Amino acid sequence: MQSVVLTLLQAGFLLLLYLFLARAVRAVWRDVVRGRPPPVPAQAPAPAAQPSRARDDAGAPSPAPASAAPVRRARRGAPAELVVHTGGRPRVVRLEGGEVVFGRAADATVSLSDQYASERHARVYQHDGQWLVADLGSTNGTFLNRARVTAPTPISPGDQLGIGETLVQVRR
Amino acid sequence: MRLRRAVDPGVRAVRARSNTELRLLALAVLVVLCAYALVSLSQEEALPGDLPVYAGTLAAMAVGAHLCSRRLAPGADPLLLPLAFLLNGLGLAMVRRIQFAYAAEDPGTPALGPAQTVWTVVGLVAFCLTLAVVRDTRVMDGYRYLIGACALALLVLPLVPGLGYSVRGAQLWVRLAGFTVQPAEFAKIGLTVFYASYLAEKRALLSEATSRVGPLLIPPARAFGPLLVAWLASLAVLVLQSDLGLSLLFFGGFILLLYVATGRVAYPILGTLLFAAGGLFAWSTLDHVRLRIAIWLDVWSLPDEGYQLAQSLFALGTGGVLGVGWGQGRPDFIPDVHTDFIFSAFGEEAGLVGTTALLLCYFLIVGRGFAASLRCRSDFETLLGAGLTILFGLQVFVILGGVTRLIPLTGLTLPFVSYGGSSLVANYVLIALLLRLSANQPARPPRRAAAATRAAGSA
Repeated sequence: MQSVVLTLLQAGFLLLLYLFLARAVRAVWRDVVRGRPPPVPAQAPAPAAQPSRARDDAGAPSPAPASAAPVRRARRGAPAELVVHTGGRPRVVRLEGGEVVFGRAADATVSLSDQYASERHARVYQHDGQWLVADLGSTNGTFLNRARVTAPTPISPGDQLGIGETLVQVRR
Repeated sequence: MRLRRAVDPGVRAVRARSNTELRLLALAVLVVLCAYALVSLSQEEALPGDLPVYAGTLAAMAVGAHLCSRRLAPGADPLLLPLAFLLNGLGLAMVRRIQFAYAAEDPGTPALGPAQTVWTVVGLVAFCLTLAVVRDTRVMDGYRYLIGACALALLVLPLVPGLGYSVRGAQLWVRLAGFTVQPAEFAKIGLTVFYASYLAEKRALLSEATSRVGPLLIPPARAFGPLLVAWLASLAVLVLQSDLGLSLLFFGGFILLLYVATGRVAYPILGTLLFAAGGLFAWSTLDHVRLRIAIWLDVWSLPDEGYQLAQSLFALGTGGVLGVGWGQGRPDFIPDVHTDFIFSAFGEEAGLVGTTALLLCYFLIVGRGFAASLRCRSDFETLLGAGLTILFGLQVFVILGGVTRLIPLTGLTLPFVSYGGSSLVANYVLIALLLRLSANQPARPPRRAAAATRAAGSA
């Protein structure tokens, strides 16, 4: 009798244990399908309230509504931002249409305080859906992965631009 | 007649999550009660008389923790707390079962079960306190040097003469008002906060690559500085406190987090080389390290030194697929089965089926941890979530690899399951932090993101 009860309880224990795991996995699955619940309005304003908030690149998709997702999921392999290392805190420049001019000039898109850079040193621009880098007749030249840029050259994520003493990373 | 108030869909989703948590907790309580009853039935041949009391206590603890997370962290992950609670409860049942085995041999052994139950209450209180105090994880970013310094102080505390005391050569414990605490368990969390904060700031600088070796992009030499510091620190822990597991955990955790932060394969590769060099050094100079490796390579040729590990392997083998059943095994054959080797006791009595369930719980916790980390909005939070999850997962891997002879055995506790108060409380704090990261935090653009916004705005 004792052993029968024990065996039954034993089986019941395992059954319950796996029932728990099944429920847990189901909860995970529901989470995957439905996504994260929207923020509580009283606590967190909708992400749309701050459209200019910088996105992190640490694989951290911001909890923005689904409509904003395609922006993030741009064509794979297309450059999406430049990281400018000038010695201090790196600056992140998003590539969003138009062009980015590097140089010491105050009106340059990215104004550098780099004594080896020219006033208008180089520009990164979009042409036929491709991002290109071109030298703007600088004194010390513009370098793409340590090779001097002589004509407009396409850039892709992982590339490094050298402008004077400044290093610019191309990222997705 | 009153009109029903329309409920905001966001609020409804948050409520649904909390209800999922409650349902899972209820199920976890049932499983634990089942295990509790089984232990009594097999050891005392009767259902425990205090089953209703015990059920009430467990339910009260679960409901208390649930209300705390529902109230203080709305929208948080609904799985983390039930999973931790289930592991904790199964650990309680197994510790109680082991206590019966110890008492059968020596009636004078101190009661492990009640002590662990008290620690569970302390752990759950720490869980609630963490949720109550840390309302916004980004606050910790500002106190990183304070937190890092405190963690270091905790780490060296056991070395202070008169305060620390050692168990089997490892200088890890501190005696405090009758209790023995393992400060390193808490130092782990503090150090992870520090790592995350440091790497969040230096991420861009550390991931800049200046040269290329074959397919590898190599960061400049000075970017490897922090790696060297972490390596030296973990070697210091190894030599001064002779704790292999902890030093492995610190170094491995740092390298993995560095990889998460930068995405540069060069770091883990160089880290592995450094680890190999450190291992070689430890092997050639430290006797206990050499012994551990000798046991790992051939446990059967060292019947005395390898007794513990051999018994653990026997226990796992005896258990087979379904196990011999709760209370039918001989956990007392394995020395120290209630701490490092508790997994083997599960293997013997619950078999592969039971240990698989345990592993699944750990997998789910790690998965949920990374999921929470990926949804965070700032670098610091993402790295903190990843770091805490890595710490937890790595600890499970190192100790389970050790008791199953996959890797050399290093003394670490199995989170939530092993007997030990410090580990339990620290792990509840860790789960509370992950819960906080997964919850909706008050929106406030952190300073770092604001600076990046300015740079982006000028583009």
